[in-house]
Amino acid sequence: MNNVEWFDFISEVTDDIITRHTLGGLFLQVSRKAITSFGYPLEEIISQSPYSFIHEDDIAVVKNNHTFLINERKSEWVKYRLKCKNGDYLSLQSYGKLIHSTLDPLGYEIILYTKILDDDDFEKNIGDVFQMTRMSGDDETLSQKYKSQKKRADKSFHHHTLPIPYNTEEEIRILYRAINSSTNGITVADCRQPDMPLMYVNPAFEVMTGYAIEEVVGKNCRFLQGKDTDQPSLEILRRAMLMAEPVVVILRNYKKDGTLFWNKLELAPVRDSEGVLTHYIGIASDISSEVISRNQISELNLMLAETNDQLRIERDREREYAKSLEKINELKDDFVSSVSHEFRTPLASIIGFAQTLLKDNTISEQLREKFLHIIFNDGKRLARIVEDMLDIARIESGKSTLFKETHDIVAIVKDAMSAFTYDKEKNTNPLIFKTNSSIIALECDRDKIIQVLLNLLTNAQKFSPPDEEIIITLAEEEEIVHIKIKDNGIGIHTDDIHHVFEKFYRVKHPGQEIRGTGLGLPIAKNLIELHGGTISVVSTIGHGSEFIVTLPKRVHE
Amino acid sequence: MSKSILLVEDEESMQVLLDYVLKSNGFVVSLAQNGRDALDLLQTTVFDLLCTDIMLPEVNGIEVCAYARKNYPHLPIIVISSKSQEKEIETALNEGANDYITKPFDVDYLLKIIKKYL
Ligand SMILES: Cc1cc2nc3c(=O)[nH]c(=O)nc-3n(C[C@H](O)[C@H](O)[C@H](O)COP(=O)(O)O)c2cc1C
Repeated sequence: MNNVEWFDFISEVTDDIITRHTLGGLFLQVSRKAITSFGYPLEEIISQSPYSFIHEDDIAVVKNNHTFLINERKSEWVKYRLKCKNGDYLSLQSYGKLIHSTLDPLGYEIILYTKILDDDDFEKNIGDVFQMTRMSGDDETLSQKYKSQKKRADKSFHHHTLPIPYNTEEEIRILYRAINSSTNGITVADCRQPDMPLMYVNPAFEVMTGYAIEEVVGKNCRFLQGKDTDQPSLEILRRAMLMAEPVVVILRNYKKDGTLFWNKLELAPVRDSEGVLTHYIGIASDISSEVISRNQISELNLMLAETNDQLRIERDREREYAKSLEKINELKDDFVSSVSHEFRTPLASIIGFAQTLLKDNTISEQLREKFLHIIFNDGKRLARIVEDMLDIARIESGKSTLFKETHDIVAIVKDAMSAFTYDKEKNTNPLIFKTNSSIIALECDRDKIIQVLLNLLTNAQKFSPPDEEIIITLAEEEEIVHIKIKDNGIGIHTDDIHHVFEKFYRVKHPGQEIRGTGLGLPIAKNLIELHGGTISVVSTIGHGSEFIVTLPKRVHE
Repeated sequence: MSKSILLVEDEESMQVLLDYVLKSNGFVVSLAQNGRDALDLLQTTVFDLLCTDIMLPEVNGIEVCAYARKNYPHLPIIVISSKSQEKEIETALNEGANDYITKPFDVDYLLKIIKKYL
């Protein structure tokens, strides 16, 4: 499980305030309890700095603890006051830990556990809560370390960027000093040159391997493997590099004098501001002293492989997500263009006739009336399109409600059929109604059922050649009724059939385009489901489609 | 002599509008309800101008354009369509249309364009 999933799970089951943060403190995720306690909606918290919510008198103590947490990987308990949405301050006590970020194996993030204190408790203890214990090392490098880690963390949500845009020469100098004084071997390789030569190694690398910087710059780092280039973990490394993904592996490497050492290598791709891969940065640690046997190594490598797999899964998921977003956008674009098309035709008629009526005073009384009728009808058509769009909006926001009464469904189907034939003057498809029942009592919202039937009839007609029959069958069982609407039209392709109830989805036919907003069927499906029923479709290309609506006679609340 | 126009349009209100507007401006109008009828009419009758929609049942307007352009290189073709994306306009022009008018349109503008080609 990655951090996000894990946190989602915890957040669901816990009644505690748990929050996830970037190293710099920005909220990444919060548990349900945090939302209910603080009163802010999610979007007002996520990506915000907690400092904008903390009582100004408490900011210093929290910041201290924050720095401590970064350096020590876990914090002390710290007490502070947080301003809630309603303006009140809530007294809190938090404890934090650093955990590895799932997205970036080199990065960390913060998990905080927070308790709510009652006010007395808080007053008693304020001020004496926090004793900072410092790591060895002078203040400057400490704060610098924090700063560079923070920058790294902020970046990790996009991608690593090199060179990091440090502002002053002073900052660059300090960063350089930090790299130079690191006890990990740090290497940078240039991906834009053939065979990825090293362009920099730090002194710790020199110490670890026995090679001097002049000997290795310009060479690919595989010289450390000697003849030992057949290690399983190298496969993992190669695969990750092929995908430009970060990776952690343990390698058998050899110092200049030939002695074996176990190298835990963390590799991360570095991209420029356009996202183009330019460098790799490697962090090498000699873990020989921790390593006892080959068995343990293979176990460790196995574990690392799992981590790497998870990284890959995470990345794939992100890509998948990006793809589905793209798809949604495409559907939207299609929708916008088809809606605008739907609007344009009646508008052209309304504007054209109105203009003609205004200018041309030779028009006969009879024609005038005809033109006005067309304007009226096209206006109604526009209103219908708007209605469809509003329906979908209501459905999406869950505001669609039913007014249920007991009706005769036989009569409803007949009413829908006559409304359909009346509405579509030029409709030439004969409607055939088949049923064995003369009356069936059904609890439903009559208008909504008629709307569904009209949508299905319109759909059947749209895909049928003129004069082909549309057959409506109504059958009852003990508890349910089936309404089937069958056409002899062009049929729906198997690729499309799973999508016909998705909104905005419009079946594409080569050489032939069918008008519609792509909303009729999604509306129908939703309304039938609100009635506790189902809707489905079977279809054969060239032979037509049959939509089957099944409704319970009595709705179980 | 009056100029004759082949009007290809499946939408009833548009048929009535264009038929009236063109006739009252002295043109002779033949109407095709779909692309296939248009191809048939083109084979049997001589027209001075072709006016077609794009979204048509069976044979679409682009195919009508292409057919007309191939067989009657000098016939002016005007597309009237509610498709307003550049891609569609480009396709129509590539397939032989001389001009492209998007719905909704100004009746006077339409007449001006038609007269320009006659
Ligand atoms: C920045 C960087 C640092 C690397 N550090 C090491 C290292 O310390 N030890 C090692 O065995 N391989 C290291 N490699 C991996 C090798 O350079 C090489 O990519 C690996 O052997 C796979 O490529 P190959 O199949 O062409 O040998 C590093 C690679 C990069 C890009």
